[in-house]
Amino acid sequence: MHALWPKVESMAPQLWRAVSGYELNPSLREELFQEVLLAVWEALPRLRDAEKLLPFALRIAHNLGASHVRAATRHPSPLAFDEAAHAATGRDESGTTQSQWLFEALATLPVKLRQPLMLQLEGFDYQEIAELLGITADNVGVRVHRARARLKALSREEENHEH
Amino acid sequence: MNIDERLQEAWREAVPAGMDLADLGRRVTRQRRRRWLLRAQELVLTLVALGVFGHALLFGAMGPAHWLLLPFFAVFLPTAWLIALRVPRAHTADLTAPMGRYVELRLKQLRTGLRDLWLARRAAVALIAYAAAAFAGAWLFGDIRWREAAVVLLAYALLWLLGTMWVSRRLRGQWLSEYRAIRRLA
Repeated sequence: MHALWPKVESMAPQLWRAVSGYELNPSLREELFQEVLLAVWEALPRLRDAEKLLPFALRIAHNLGASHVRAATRHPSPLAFDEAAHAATGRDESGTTQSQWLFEALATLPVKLRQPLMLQLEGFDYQEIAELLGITADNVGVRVHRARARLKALSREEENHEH
Repeated sequence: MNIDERLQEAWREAVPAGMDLADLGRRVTRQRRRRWLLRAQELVLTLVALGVFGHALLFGAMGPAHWLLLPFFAVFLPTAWLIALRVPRAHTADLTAPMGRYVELRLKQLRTGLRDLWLARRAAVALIAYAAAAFAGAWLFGDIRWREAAVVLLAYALLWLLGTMWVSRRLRGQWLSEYRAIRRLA
């Protein structure tokens, strides 16, 4: 086992969130998560700087997620979002967990907008996201802004619908 | 609560529950073992075919069945390896590349995969044509041994065609969808 594997295991929540941003169906999400873990395992010897393990693992997760996204939409989710698989606590008045709302809302965004927003939510700054995605920091800013605007509109729409 | 706070809170609260994190290493090992077994299976099949035909060729024991089934394996083995080895699976080096580079590589891999599937379908059609011709020839000019071998070949070729079409249809749809999705990121 690679010396850094225990660190990868401690990053499971981050990898899980990245995977959840691409797949809502619990069994397909689990499959994608396994695939990401395997790819990270195999890629570990290529990692030069151990300090950059998280961006390294997340880059793999997002690359695989981008490849996965279309396959998932070909098999519409036969199951509802698996709340039990998420240790989420916050619920709104309709009983929907916050994370459930977020992942369902993220699924409506194109991958180009979704990726930078997910990475920003994970705590990366524009420059780090730009390096991860191979785009400019300005471009990251534009994409994040658009993604937030869309989610904001979606949230407002839902609020109006509820009232 | 404004949207930024809502997003941040929702993101942070999503952690995998009920997942045995200590088990991750074991799960990865199991998955690697499964892949290895699949590859070993393909290798054994190839070696058996090479052994059977090699032995027959070397010792001059080529019977009707060998002659007729040789073209079948000449299609089967390269196709099986083509699909198994050149399957557009993202390699480790590609996955660690920045998204822009990954997209480029992935598009190339998927294009190659789709071309290989096309080749596999054409090869299967050519094989069934050959099997039908061999069947007619054996029935008209051959004795019982040739006829039996021709029937076996025709049955194999038909199964191969059906199998290839099934695999090709399944993979083609999947790869095409991925290709379109990835192209949008380019």
